[in-house]
Amino acid sequence: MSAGVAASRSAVARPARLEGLRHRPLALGVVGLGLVGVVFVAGIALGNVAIAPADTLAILARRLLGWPLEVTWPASAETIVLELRLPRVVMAMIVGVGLSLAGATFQGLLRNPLADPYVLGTASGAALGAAIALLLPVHVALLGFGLLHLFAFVGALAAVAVVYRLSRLGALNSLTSVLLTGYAVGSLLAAGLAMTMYLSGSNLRQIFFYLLGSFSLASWPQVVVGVPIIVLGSMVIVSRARSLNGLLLGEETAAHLGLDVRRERLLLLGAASLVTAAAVAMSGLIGFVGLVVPHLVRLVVGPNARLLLPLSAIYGAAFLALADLAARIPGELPVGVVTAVVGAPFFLYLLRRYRAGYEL
Amino acid sequence: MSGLALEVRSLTVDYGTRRVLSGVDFSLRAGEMVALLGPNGAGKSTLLRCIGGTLRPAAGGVLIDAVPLAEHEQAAIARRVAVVPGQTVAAFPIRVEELVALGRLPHEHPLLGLRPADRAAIDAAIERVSIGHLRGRDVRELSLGERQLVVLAMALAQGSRLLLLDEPTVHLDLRHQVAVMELLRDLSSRDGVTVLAVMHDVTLASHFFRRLVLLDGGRLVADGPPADVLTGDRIQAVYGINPGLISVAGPA
Repeated sequence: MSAGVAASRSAVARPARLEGLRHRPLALGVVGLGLVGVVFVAGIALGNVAIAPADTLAILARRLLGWPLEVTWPASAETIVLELRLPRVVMAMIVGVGLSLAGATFQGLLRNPLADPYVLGTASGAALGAAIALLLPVHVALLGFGLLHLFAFVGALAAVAVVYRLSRLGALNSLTSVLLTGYAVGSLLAAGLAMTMYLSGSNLRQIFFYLLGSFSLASWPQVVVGVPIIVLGSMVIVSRARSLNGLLLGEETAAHLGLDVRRERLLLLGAASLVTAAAVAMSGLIGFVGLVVPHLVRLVVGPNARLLLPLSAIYGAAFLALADLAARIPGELPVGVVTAVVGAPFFLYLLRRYRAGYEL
Repeated sequence: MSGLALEVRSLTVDYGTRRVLSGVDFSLRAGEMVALLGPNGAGKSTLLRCIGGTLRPAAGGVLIDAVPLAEHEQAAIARRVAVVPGQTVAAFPIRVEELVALGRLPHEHPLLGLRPADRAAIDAAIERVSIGHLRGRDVRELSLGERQLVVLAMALAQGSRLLLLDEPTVHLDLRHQVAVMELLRDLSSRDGVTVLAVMHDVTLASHFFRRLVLLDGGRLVADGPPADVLTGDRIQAVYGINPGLISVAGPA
């Protein structure tokens, strides 16, 4: 133990600029919100058909806020803005919020820096659910929702429930056992997914499309159903910041500080899983957001969940909407590819820079 | 002021089939300062866990301010009992003042977070343990002894009337050992905080505590002033060493 301390001692020095930011969380929040605003407008204005930012703002102001502005744009612009791009940007942002919060929650809850929203089998469960839905000869679609969304949502939640049940039976309810159980269940489901894909024949491409994640099919009905679930789960998570702080110190100390460890854990785990399930059901498996965004924020403001959670939510929204924008400009790349291609090198750069100075 | 702050009544604890505490009985008056002694495996830390509410006894019980522990919620226990754990808290990047602030968790407003009264308690705790110079430092840069002081400050920030400590001086140099002992004495005599500390250093304990409780094999074998508890025969019987190795003195 003392060796580790000695090793980390020399490397803790952080650049003075970041050091200053740590004391200005409010400034970071304001900058983040500004970024969200810019990305929001850019996400609506840019695409196959570019619409001038001024027109974009005017359309939004006229239709959403009811401002009596004179119509100087073609009707098609209004349709593109309101029916295609607005739900897409809203969806990308809210999924970014959800995945970032879920990632921060799992990292804190499991005290493991490698944890992401999918750590407890959610991804495999959702993927298997979606793949099965695509294989079934039944085709039900209601307002843009199909079996796929339902099965993916249920699959994700079922996987977490199984992991939770199994690991609770394990001795001492240790975090390691939860993680290993998640890994084991995830692997089992992944085998099921592989088998389903093998059997899927012509549906393979669709399954693959889902696995890579995309917002290209975002629609208002999806927003109306998905967003409240993610918002509700996110509110639960943010309101438990205090518990997440206590749990960082370990279960025993958390209990001494007055936390009902079992209840708080279940609440946080449930909320994070719900958010993740809704996110993957709507947009597929988008990797890296839930891992990287909380880490980046933590690098700057430290582990205090009261700052970490809201800032992760803000920057997660901006990051994913931006990634979606980058994915659609060259002509609909899968957004999961973009988040990984942009996120991984950036993350590696930061890790190299802080190396031993950064642990969860 | 002389009400009973803590009553331990025929407390029995089993780990699986192994009995680690059997029928332990003692009580502390408010503002009393008592050391809990005994060899490794005597059940000292287990006893602290029961009093802190994180371990359920197989039989018997604990009363805090005359209310059974089982009737308190965990948050209510935390406002009455603060625990300084034996193992130093996990090291992750957090500043000293942020860590001490976590001591206010049981008092924090669910939405507003830390309020001015909380900030005052944090400042006072940092002042009291004399770690003002460490305030902005990352906890991981600190020595084990310094960390121990930070954790002590965190417990003080909790503002509880009963303070449980598991070997509070184990990583400290001589000067800081004495400083912590004096701080505990000050807390009990001046602020009326009830202190129960697991101690391994019998000599240090006999200098600073007026009352010692000695555990051996899960049973309470002696309870009283140092000179009565630490007799030569008993040191021989409990610790299995030559009693001449230990100098027992009354509280200074």
